[in-house]
Amino acid sequence: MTAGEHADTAVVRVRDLRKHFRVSGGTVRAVDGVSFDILRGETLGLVGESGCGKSTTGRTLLGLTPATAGSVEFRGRDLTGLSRRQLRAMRPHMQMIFQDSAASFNPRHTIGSIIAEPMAIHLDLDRSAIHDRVAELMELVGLKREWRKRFPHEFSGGQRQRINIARALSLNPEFVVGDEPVSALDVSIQAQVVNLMSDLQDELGLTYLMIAHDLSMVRHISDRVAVMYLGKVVELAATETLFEDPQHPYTQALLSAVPLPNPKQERARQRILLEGDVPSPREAPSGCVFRTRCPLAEARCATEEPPYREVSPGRFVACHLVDGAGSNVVPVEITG
Amino acid sequence: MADEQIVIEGLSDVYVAPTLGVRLRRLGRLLWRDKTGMIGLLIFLTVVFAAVFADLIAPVDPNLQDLRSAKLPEAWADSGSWSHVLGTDDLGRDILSRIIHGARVSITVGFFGVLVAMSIGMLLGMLAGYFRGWVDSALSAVINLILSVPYLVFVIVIAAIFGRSLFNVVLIFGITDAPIFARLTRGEVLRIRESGYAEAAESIGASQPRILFRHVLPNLVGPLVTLATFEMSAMIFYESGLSFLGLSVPPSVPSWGNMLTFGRQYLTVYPWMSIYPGIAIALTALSMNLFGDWLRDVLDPRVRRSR
Amino acid sequence: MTGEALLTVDGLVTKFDAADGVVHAINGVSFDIRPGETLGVVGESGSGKSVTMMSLLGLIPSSVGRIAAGTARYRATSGEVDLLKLSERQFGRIRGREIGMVFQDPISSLNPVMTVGRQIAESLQRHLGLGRRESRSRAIEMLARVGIADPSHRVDDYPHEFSGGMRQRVMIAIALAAGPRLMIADEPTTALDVTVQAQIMALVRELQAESELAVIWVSHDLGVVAGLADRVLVMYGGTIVESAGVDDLFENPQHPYTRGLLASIPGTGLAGSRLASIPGTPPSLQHELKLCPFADRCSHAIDRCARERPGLTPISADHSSACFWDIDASRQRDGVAVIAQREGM
Repeated sequence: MTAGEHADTAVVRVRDLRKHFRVSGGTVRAVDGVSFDILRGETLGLVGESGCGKSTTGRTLLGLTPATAGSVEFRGRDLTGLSRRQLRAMRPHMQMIFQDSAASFNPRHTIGSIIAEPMAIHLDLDRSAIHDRVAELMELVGLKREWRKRFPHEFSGGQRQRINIARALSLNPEFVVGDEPVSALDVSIQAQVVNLMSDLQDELGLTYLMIAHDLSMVRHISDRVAVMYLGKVVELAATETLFEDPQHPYTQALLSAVPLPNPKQERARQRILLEGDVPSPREAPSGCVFRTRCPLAEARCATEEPPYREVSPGRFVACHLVDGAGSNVVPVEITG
Repeated sequence: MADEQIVIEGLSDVYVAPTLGVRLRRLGRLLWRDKTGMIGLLIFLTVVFAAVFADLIAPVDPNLQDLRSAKLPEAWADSGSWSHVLGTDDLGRDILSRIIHGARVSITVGFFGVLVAMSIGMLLGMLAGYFRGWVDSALSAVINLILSVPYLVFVIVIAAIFGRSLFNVVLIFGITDAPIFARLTRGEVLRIRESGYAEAAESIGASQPRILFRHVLPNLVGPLVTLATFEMSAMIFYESGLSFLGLSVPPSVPSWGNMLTFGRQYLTVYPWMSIYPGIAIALTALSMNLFGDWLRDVLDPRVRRSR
Repeated sequence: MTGEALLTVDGLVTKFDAADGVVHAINGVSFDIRPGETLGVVGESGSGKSVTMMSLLGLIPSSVGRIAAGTARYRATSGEVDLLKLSERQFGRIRGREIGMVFQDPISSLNPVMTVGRQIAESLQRHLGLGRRESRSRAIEMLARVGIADPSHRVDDYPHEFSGGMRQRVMIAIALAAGPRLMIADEPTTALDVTVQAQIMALVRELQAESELAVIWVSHDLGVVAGLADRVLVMYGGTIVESAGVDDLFENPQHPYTRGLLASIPGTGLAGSRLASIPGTPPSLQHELKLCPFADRCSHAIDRCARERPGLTPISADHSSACFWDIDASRQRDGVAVIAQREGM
C-alpha cells in the first residue's frame, strides 16, 4: 500500500508545528517549525537521532502536550486550538502506541481492564459487550483470551506491545502514532510485532506515523520517510527514493552510518563520518541547524536558514546546497 | 508449521498461568521467606489485641492500689509473687495490667494520629501535586513552615493552651505529621502524572478525574500504607516520650510513658518498674517497622513477582 | 591474528540464585581468541552474552551468583592464569592492566567527581607505577589517541562535561591506558546514536590497526558485528549455538536460530512485505539445560532435540553449530530451507 495508489488525501496536515520548552537558562526548541502531511492508509516514518524532537512531534501532534505554535489538521479541525474536552472527544480517532510498554500500563490493572478502558470511557456498552470486544481484540493481536485476568508484568516485552496495540485499536481509530513501538524488543520479537502492525494496517485501513531511530526498520515499514535533526525536518521523500538517493547531507551521513548485517558490504562501504555529537537543542546553531557537523557547510549556512521546500514532486529538502531540480549535492569527503 | 511446534515444559515459561492458587502460594512464600515481617505482624497483632480486649485479659484493675504488695518484683524473682507476674509499682498497681491497658493509649494515639495526619496530608499533597503551579507553591510553603517548627515546641505550646488529653495528643500528632504524608503524596502524584500510564490514559481520552481516581489514587495506596506503619510506630514512640515529660495523658491514665516516669525515680532500686514498659515500647515500635518493611514489598505488584 | 590463543575459555558454567530457584545463565561456554582478533558475540537479551563477560572479568557478585565450572586460561604478561580462579586481589592486577573493559553506559562507569585525566592517570599509576606528571602527560596522549580534540584542556574536565560519544571515547582511553592486550566491550555503542556509533567503530578499528589488541565485542546488533568482527559467536539460552568466521556466518548460517535472527532483520530477509520472525520467546533458564534451548521455537525441531542437548559440532575448519538438524540433507529434500515465518507467540 503506497501513497501513490491513493489519491493524495491527507489524513493529518501538520503546518509549521512548534513546541518549545522553557528550561532554566533558556528555551529548548524541541520541535521548531515542522510541516508535513500524512496520507490516508500510508505509514509515514519519522526518524532521527536522540534529541531531534521526533517523539515530541508525535506527542504534540496528538495534543498530549500543547503546541507552542502551528497547526495540526485532523478530521477537518485544528487540534492545536481545541480545549481538553474537545480533544478528548477526538481521542477515539487517533491513538498512540508507546515505546515503553511496561511503563504505559497501570501496574494494578489486569490486561483485560487495560484493553477495555478506552471503551469504558467512550462507548456506552454493557459489561458483556465490552467483555466480548476485549476477547476479540486479544485474539486479533495474538493473545489468548484466557490471559485477560493477568497483570502486565506477567508478560514478555513482545506480548506487552501486543496489549498496547490492542488498547490503541479498541476504538477503531483512523490514525495511530507509534512512538518507537519495537525499539525496546529483541530483533526476533521486533519482527513479530512489526508484522502484526502491518497486518492490522491492511485489515483495518489504518494510517500510521511511525517514530523510530532504527533506519532499517523504518525502511521496512514506511511508505514515506521524514528525517529530523534538531527540531526540524531536513528531508522527506518516498522511502526508496530517500534510501537510494538521499539529498540532504545529514540524511546521507545518517544512512551511511547504519551498520549493515553483511560483512563484505560493510568492508567495502564508503562512510561519511560526521564530526562530534548532535548539539544541545538549547543551543541550536544559527542558520542551518546541521551546519556545525556538515562536511559541506558554506558561509551562508551560518546566516540563512535553508527553506524547507519541495525540490521535486513529493520530495522535500531543507538545504541550501540542493538545487531546485533535486539533483544530488556535490560529492562529500569520504572516509573509509 | 505452527502445530508441529514441540511444546516443552519449562523452557519458555515467561507466561505460565498465575492462577489464584499460585498467587496465594506466592504470597505465603513471601511471608515465609520474610520471617522478620511475619514476627513483626504477630507482635503488632498481639499489641492491638491487648489494647482492644484490655478489660478482659488484664489480670487486675490497672488502677487498683494495694500498698501491702507495693514494689513487688517479677514473679520469678526471689520475693516475687505469681499474682503480679511483672511485679507492682510504688503504689502496688499491677505492672502487667498497666502495660496491657497502656497499649490502648499507644494504639489509639498511633492509629488516630496517623489517620488525621494521612487525611490532611493526602488532601494537601494531592492538591499540590495535581494542580501544580501556584497551588503547589502555596501549599509547599505551608508544609515547610510546619516542618520548620521544632515539633516539641509545637507540642508544649498546644499542650499548654488546650491541656493534657488523649484527644489533644492525637490532634497534635495529626497536624505535625501531616506534612510528611503531604510530601510523599505530592511526590507520588507528580511521579504518577509523569508516568507512562498517566500519559497513556490521557491518550485514550480519560478525563482528569478519571486519571486521578483510577490511575493516581490506587497507586498511592502502597507507599501511603507503608509510610503509615512507620509513622504509627514513631507516634507510639513519641507519645511515650511526651508522657514521660508529662505532656501527654494525665498521670492517672495507664500509659507506657507515664509508667516510665514513675519508674524513673526507682530505676536503681526497683528497675522492673521501668524495664517492662520500656520493653513494650521498643517491641511495638520494632514490630511495626519490621511489618512496614514487609508491607512495602507486598504492596508493590512488581516486587511481589520478582521476589 | 595467528598463533597461540590469548584467551581460551572452556566449559564455563555460571548460575544465579533467584528467589524461585537457580537460574542457569551460562551452560557450558567454550571459545578462544587470538591476539589482534576481534570476536563478535551476538545474542538477544538473556542469551548470556554479558554474563559470560562478567564471569571472565570476575564481576559476578558472590551474593547473587557463582561460577560452577570451567576454565579460562589467559596468557598474561606474567604467565598464564585461570581467570575463573582468581581472587579479587589478583583480579586487581588483571582488570585494566591485562584486560581493558568498556561498558554500555559510560556515565555510570565513570566517577562523576573526578576529572577524566585523573581517572586515566589512576590506572597508569596503579598498573604501571608511573609518577604524577608522567601519568598526566600519558593521559593527554591517550585522550588524543581516542580522538578527543584539545586533549590538554579536556584532561581537566569532568565526565558530565563530555557528550555521550565523547564519554565512550574516554572509557576506551581508560580501558587501554595501561596497555592491555585484550579489550572486552559490552554493548559499547548501544546507547549511542548511529552517527556516533560509526565514529566509535572507526576508532576501534584504528586502534586495532596500531597494535595487536584483541577485542571481544558484545552486541545485539548483527550489523555492528558484521562491520567489526573477524569471528562471531552466536549465543542463545546461555550457550553458544554457532561459531564461525564473519563472512561464513553471514553467508552460510547453519543454526536455525542464527538463520532466523538474520532473516528477521529488515532488509535481509526473503523479501516481500513481511519480516521473517521467530515465534515464541527465549527460554527462562530456570531448569538445567538438558535439551536444545531453541527446540520449542525451532521449525526444524525433531524429537531428539527435546531429549538431548546438541553440542557444538564442527562443520568446517572454523565453523561449528550446535544443532541436530542436517541442513544439507534438508536442502536436498525441500529445495530451499525455509525459516519459520509463522507469526505467533
